[in-house]
Amino acid sequence: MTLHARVGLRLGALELDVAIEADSGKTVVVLGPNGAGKSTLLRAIAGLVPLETGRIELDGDVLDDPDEGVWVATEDRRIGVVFQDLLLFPHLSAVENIAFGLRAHGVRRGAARVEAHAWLDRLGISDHAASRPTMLSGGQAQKVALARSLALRPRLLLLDEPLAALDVTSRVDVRRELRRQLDGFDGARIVVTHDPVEAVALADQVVVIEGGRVRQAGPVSELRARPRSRYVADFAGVNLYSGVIRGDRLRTDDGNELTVVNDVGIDGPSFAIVHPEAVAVYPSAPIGSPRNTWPGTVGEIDRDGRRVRVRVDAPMPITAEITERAAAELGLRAGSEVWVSVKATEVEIFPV
Amino acid sequence: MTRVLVIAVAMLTSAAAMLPASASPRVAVPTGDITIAAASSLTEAFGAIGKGFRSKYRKTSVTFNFGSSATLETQLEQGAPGDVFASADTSTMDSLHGAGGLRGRPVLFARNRLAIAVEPGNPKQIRTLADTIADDVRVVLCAPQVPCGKYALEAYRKAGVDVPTVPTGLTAKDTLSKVSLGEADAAVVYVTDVEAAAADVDGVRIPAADNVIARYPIAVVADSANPATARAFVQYVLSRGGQATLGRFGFLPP
Amino acid sequence: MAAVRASTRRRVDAGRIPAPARVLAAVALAFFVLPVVGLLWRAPWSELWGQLSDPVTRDALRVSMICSLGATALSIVFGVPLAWLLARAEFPGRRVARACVLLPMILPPVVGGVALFLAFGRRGIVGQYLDDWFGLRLPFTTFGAIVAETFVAMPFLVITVEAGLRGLDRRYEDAAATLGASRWTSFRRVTLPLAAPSLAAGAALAWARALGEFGATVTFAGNFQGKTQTMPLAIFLAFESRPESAILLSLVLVAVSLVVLASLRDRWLRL
Repeated sequence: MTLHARVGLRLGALELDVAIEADSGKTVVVLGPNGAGKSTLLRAIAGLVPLETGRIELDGDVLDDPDEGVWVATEDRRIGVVFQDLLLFPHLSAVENIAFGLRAHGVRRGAARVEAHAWLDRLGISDHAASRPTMLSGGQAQKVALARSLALRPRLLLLDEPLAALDVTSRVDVRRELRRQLDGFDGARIVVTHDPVEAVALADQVVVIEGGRVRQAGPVSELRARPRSRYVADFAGVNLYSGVIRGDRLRTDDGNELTVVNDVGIDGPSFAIVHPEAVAVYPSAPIGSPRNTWPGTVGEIDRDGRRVRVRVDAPMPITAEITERAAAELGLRAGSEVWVSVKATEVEIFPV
Repeated sequence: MTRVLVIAVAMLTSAAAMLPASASPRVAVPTGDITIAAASSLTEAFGAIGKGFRSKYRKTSVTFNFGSSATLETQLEQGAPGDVFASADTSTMDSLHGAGGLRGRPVLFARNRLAIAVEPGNPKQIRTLADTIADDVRVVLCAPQVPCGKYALEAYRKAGVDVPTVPTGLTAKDTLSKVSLGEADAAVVYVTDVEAAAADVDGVRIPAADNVIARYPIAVVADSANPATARAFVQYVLSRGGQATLGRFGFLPP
Repeated sequence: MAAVRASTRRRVDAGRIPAPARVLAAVALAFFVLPVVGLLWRAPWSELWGQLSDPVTRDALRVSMICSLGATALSIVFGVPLAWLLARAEFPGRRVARACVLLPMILPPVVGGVALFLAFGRRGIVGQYLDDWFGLRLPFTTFGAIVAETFVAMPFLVITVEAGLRGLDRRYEDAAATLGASRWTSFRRVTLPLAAPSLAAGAALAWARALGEFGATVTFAGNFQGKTQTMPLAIFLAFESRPESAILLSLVLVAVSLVVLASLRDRWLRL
């Protein structure tokens, strides 16, 4: 079960031009900021929005091809969708919701209910079979929504921000459960999210979409190692600067300068990455070899176990990661004046 | 003969009305506004009478409130504004009189008869009341709750005709309009209604033996704010001029 | 101090509504209750049985029930698709269409009756053909009365159902589609059930309007005892000759209406 999709359409101010693939047994996470077009992409694959250009092919069946005039209606695509707001039918109970799709396919009422009950058992929520959606907790409702789609054994499962409606405390448990369910599903899966943590937890592959276009695609590790945009870098937690390299100087877009080691001979527009661990923090201007040093004020301090991430505000903002002990010794608090320094060798550069 | 008598009486009454002018220091010329509550069958006739009254007494203004006699009576009884009441039957007038709503006694000022209104050219060849209930004739009457309806049923009784349940109009004019609009072939209404709608309908006489006489009384309302002018209006209706006008519209003298 | 507090704590929950508003609300309530009280006060109860046995009363009640229910049924059959169209379809002139549908709510009913008459009377634009070709006449027939009542009542149903359909999250239909439901199945099992409360409310409003209709009925269908003479017409005429009859007939109509309205639970009337 493979999905090949090239989606080209315009919806309001959004121009979507995305190519995406998904294989059975794998979870592709579509990641991007709000408004990037992720939900629209899902809707196009599901057939709720028609393509203007492109082609959607699932398992060899062409679902949408405007050039060849092929169009398969949503109800015939065998693609399951778990919507952002779940959209459980409010006038039906949990078991009736799950049975809905089966009955729509002609399964008799009794048989459909039996199968629906089986799903409820499998997910551990049989107690709530007769409950209306409003009476279910966020996690329970999510399970019902998932079961409702899975009951039809779709070839492809699309999930739109599956954890967005949950509160922070339930999110962790539900995410774990969702991972388990998705791993057990043998079709292809595409999950849309704006939460990087979710992406890391669920993804085999990540596709980053910004402004209607694919910014980067690949496994999580690759994105972390080589982020290609501020958004992806933030996702990976690194410092990213874009600018122009001439010789061994990078002039950033906002007018600052970094000294770099230009082995590869890059010339022209490029990115520079500085990992937070490579940033040193001093209480006053340091003396010694570092070429890149500048003063700043401590903004946010984020303690993550024994590590402390310090955001330093300056004309060239930067995030440093130092040990707890170091932070204590420096007496860091918001507003403290510090100096940061980065060795030129620690600046990773690559062309745009 | 009756006509001559009426005219004579009218002349005497007007003469008598003029006498106090010489006998006493001053007679007030009628002035001010008055409202006349009159049965709808009097619409055209009283319209003309109103004009005549106003041209005679230039300082007056007359407003008419036309409606079914029963509704008007109820309204006046409940205290609605009105200076003169002219009704299409004596029972409503008596009713108001009994409730103490009149100043003085009512006077008969006209009579009316019933006629059958038919479509122009009388395509269904209706000649008598019996013809109106033929199978291919659609007849409408006034609702039995209004005077015109009661009279119609009485006329049928006198003619020995059994009238089935038929559609009815809420007022005589409403009933007549069914014929002029083509929804009915015949309607039993007042002669005066037929005359007033002469352009749209033809009339068929009902013989006097079967016909019913409607007696129209007029009186000043007890709560009138302008009883002098109200009385002057009543006099005018009874005067030669007023009676002539009524006759022009098809009314019989009282 | 405490004693005063306890005695003023009443079981009536005024819902934290400020006093001036409560006064105004009370006045409004009295405005609606007083006429009914007036009717009850002045009713000649001794004549009640006689009045109820009167064929005029029985005919009027029967005609009123048949016509109001018939008008409601027609309003549902034709009004629901129209509401669906207005709520969902985009077509040129939709605004004008909606304005025409709402017109009977704004115009005096008599105007509606006159308009119907000009269209469907024996010499009307459509009526003359109905008569010439089919011998079908509407004035003075019960069906004509139903048509008149439908004309004034259907807009209430259309507007209520349209609002209900608009308020529905269309994504439920998307969800149904992803589960394999055809358009018809989706309408039948998702849209309709979710729109049912507004449909019930719309039908109740339409029925109530049809029951009380006078102007259009009398102008178009005419006054024909046993066929088109509805309760409002009978009451109007009774008022002419015997106001006591009118009071009793009015009470009968009020009683019938109250029974039906009271049996419609609160939650069905919620739009």
